Amino acid sequence: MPIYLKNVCFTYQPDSPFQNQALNGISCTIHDGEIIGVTGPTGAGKSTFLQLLNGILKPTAGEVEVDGVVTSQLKGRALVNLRQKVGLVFQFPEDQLFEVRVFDDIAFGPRNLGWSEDKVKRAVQWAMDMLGLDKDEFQDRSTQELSSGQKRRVALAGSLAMRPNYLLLDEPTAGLDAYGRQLLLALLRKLNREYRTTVVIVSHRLEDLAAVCQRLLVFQAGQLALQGTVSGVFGHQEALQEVGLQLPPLNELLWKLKAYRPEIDPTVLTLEEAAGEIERAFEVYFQGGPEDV
Amino acid sequence: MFEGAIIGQYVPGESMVHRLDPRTKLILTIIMMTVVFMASSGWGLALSVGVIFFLIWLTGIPLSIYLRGIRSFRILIIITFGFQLFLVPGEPLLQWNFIHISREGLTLGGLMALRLVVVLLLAQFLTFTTSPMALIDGIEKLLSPLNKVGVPAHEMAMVMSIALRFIPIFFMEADRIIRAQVSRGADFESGNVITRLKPLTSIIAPLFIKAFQRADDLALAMEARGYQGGEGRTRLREIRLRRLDLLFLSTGLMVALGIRLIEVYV
Ligand SMILES: Nc1ncnc2c1ncn2[C@@H]1O[C@H](COP(=O)(O)OP(=O)(O)OP(=O)(O)O)[C@@H](O)[C@H]1O
Ligand SMILES: [Mg+2]
Repeated sequence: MPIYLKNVCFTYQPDSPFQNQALNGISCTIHDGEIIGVTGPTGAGKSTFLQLLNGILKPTAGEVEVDGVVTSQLKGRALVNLRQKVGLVFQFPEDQLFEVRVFDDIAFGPRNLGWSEDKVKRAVQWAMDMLGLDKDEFQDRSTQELSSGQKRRVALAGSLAMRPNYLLLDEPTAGLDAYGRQLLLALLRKLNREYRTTVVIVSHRLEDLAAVCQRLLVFQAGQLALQGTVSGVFGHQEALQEVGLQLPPLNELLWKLKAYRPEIDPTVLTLEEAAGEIERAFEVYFQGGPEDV
Repeated sequence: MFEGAIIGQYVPGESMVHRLDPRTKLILTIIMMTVVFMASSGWGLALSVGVIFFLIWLTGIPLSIYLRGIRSFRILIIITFGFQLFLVPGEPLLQWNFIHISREGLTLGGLMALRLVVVLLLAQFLTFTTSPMALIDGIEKLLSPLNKVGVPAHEMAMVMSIALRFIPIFFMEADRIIRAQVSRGADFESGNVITRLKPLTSIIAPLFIKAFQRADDLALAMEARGYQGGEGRTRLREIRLRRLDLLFLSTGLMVALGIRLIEVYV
C-alpha cells in the first residue's frame, strides 16, 4: 500500500524562540514499488520529510498514512514495527556503527524486532550478500577497523537486514566516488526490481536521481515546488534554476541547443536518446556522414 | 529526544542586560547566589527572589522560557524536596505508618528546592543574555590576576570555550544518532534495565568515537595554524566596563548588603 501525506506541516521546537517551520502543507503520495527522488536546496526540508515517513517525527499538522495507519496514532511496539516496514538510512550512516563485530552491528536491527537468532542470521547473510560483503571475510572484523566505504556498506546492510518494504535514504551517494555511486544505484535498482522495495532517495545530484528514479519531488523552503516524472520535472528548467538546482550536464547542453533548434526535447534521460535528439535536430549538418562534417 | 535542550543556550537580544559586560553579569550572578544561600529568614529570601525576578524582567526574555528550562530539572527538584521532607526529624506534622513528615523537613525541603530553582534561574539569566564566547572572555579576564600565582587562566578559558563550542554539536550528534538507532528499531521506552542497556550503548559508543575523532582533528587544526597558548595573544573584540556596568555592579552590591543588613538587624 502507498504512503499518503495529507497537508503535512512540521515545526521544530514549537513555541520557543528557536521555533522553525521546516515543512508547510505537503500533500503527496509515494506509490508502491516505485523509486522516487527527493531534491531541493539545502534547508528545504528533505531530511525532515524522510523522518516523517518512518514516524521518527510526527507532523505538527496534517497526516502521514503508511499502509492504512496514521503514524501519529502509533505507540511503543507498533512504532518499532513501522520502522521495520519503513527503513531509514541517515546521511553518513557509518557514524552509527557501535558493535565490535560487523555481524552484530548488522544484526542490531533484526534483533530489536525480536526475530529468532536463526532468522536474524539469514537476514544478515542476505543483507551482506546484497552489499557484496563477503561473509567469511567481514562478519568477525571490527567495525572500527573498516575503511569508510566499507563502513557505509555495513551500515546499509544493517538497514537492509530489517527487510523493509520501503527504504528511505538521505544523501546516500554523498562522499562516494563515481564507482561507489554506480554500485549503490545498481543495488537500489536491484532491490526495487527483485524484491519490490519502494525506494525514496534524497539527493542534490539530479544525475543520480535521473539514473534510477521514476518520479521526483522538488522541495523549496518547506514546500513542494514541483513534482512529476523525471522528464516532466526536467522540463521546468527555469523553476529548477530558481530554487538553485542544476540539471545534469546532458540536459543543460540540450537546453542550450534548444535555443537554436526548438524541436529538441531537452528532457531525455540517457546519452543515446540525447544523441538521437541532436542528430535529428542538426540533420542537415550530418547528411553525408561524419566524414563530411 | 532533545526537543528543548534550552538551558545554557544563548538567546540573542537587545536588552540592557544583553549589553552588559560579561564580567558584570558573572559577578551579579555570584552575588545573588551568595545572597540567596546566606538568606536565613523568609524576609531575606523573599527580597532576594524579588530582585532576581526584576533582573529577569530586565532581560526582556519571557518568563515562560525560564520556566521551561527549569522544567527539565523538575525530577531533581522533587527528589531534593522529598529527601528533606521525609528524612529530616523534628516536630511531626503528619504521621502515617513509617512515613512521617516534620515541620523542619518541610521548611528545609522547601528552602533547598527554592535555592535550586534560584540557581537555575540565575544560570539562565547569565547564559541567555551572554554569548558563550563573551562568557569565556569574562571568565578569563576575571581569573587573569591569578596568572601570577600560576593559574593558567588562558588555558582554562580555552578549554571551557572549546567545551562550550562543542556542547551544541554534541547534542545535535546525540540527537542524530538516537534517531538513527531508533530507525533501526531501538526501543528505549519498554523493557527492563538489561534490555535497555543495548540501545543505550548504541548511542553512547558512536558518540564517544566521534568526540575523540573530533578532538584529534581540532588539536591538529589548531597546531597547524600555529596555536601556542595564551602568551601574547590579542583578541578581536575587547570587552570593557562601561557606565551601565558600574551602575549595575554598585546597585547589585548595595542591594545585597541591604538584604544582609535587614536580615541581621531587623
Ligand atoms: N533538529 C532540528 N532542530 C531545529 N531545526 C531543525 C532541525 N533539523 C532541521 N532543522 C531546520 O529545518 C529546516 C529543514 O531542515 P532539513 O534538514 O529537513 O533540510 P534538508 O532539505 O535536509 O537540507 P540539507 O540538504 O542541507 O540536508 C532547516 O531550516 C533546518 O535549519
Ligand atoms: Mg538533509
